[in-house]
Amino acid sequence: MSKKYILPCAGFDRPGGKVSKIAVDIIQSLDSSSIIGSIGALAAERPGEIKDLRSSDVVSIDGCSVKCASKMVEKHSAREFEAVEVTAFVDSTDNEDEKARAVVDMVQQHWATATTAPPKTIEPESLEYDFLTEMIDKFILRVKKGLFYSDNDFWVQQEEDLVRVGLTDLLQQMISDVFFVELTDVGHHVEFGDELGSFESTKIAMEIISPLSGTVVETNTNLEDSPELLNEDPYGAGWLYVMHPDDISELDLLKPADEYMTYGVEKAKRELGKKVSK
Amino acid sequence: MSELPKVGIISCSGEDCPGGNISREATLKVLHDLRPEETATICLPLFLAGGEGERGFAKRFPTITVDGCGKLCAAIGTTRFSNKPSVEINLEDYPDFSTLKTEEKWHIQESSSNLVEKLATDIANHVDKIRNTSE
Repeated sequence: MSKKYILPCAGFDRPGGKVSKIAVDIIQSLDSSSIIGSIGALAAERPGEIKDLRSSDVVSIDGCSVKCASKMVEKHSAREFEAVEVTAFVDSTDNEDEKARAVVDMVQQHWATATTAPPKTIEPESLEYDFLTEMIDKFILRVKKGLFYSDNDFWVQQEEDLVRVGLTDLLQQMISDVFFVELTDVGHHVEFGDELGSFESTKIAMEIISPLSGTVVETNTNLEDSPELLNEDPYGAGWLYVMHPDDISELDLLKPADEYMTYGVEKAKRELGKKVSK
Repeated sequence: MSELPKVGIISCSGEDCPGGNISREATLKVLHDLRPEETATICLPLFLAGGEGERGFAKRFPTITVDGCGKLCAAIGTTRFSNKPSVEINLEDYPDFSTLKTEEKWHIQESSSNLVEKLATDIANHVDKIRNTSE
């Protein structure tokens, strides 16, 4: 992760906001490759901005104790980041330029440490032999073995008398980066094919289509703060619901993994064809 | 004592567009010099990050949004989280803005300073109009 993304508070009519603004001006004059983020752009969930945030080493600069910049980073990315507070320099000087310089020093110190630190070990999300994989152009489509799949690209995993539900790798690749998930409440009952919440990605707003009839007994609340889990781990941490099915034999209406892979490959090829023909 | 409502001004903070600094400076001029008693500052970052006070004010009182570019962060954010602004100003609608050099947009210089004055006067006039129609 070599890109550097700095999110200043730039708080309007706030002394700390002005200092954070001066600081990022200095940072960019020293290193023009660094990306100066915008709270406005993040709030508007502009796709390019969210992509930059999630693919960079991030430093937030907060102008006051409300810490808007840090909150915005936390809201839109699950990754760790460095937070610098302008108020930390309040006693050192009254001069805004000097405070800004101190902020710049702190940010640069972070970059220096971050670039020399060893990369974190990332645990594999799952063993590859759990999956069927197929290469379609440059995309690798993964279908987890042992699950049941709907034509709407949602999976169901049986867990004793309950089922866990999520979206497939194919769907997450087609919709691109998810930035908002709205899940239905525990206790909500749906029929097969009913709407079961929704999500928005950088490409599309979509309903979650229930792959079977039943009652929601648990929702994945982590998705509210970290919707990117749907993209990062669709068969694991990005699950959507645990449900109590009305009739477990409805699983027979769904596709097993190998059948879904055939279906998914055709679907993916059609999608790629659409893009090419445009 | 005046019964007229204060007008909230929500300005682009200018991190992501060259017009942000001009919007910001013009808004500060209205808030501090031209209409200090008639206006209230709303911090855009705080507003967008979920500040209940800022959002609550914008729900109850008229607001003017001042955007520095066509991305319209201030107007879109205000509409999304509170109410539709009474007035939406976009600096790009000013012919004088398009004639400025990039450097003059990013950093206030003499030519951009004139635009700050003009924009501030327009904002102040909108404040007066909004308050007069509230009578």
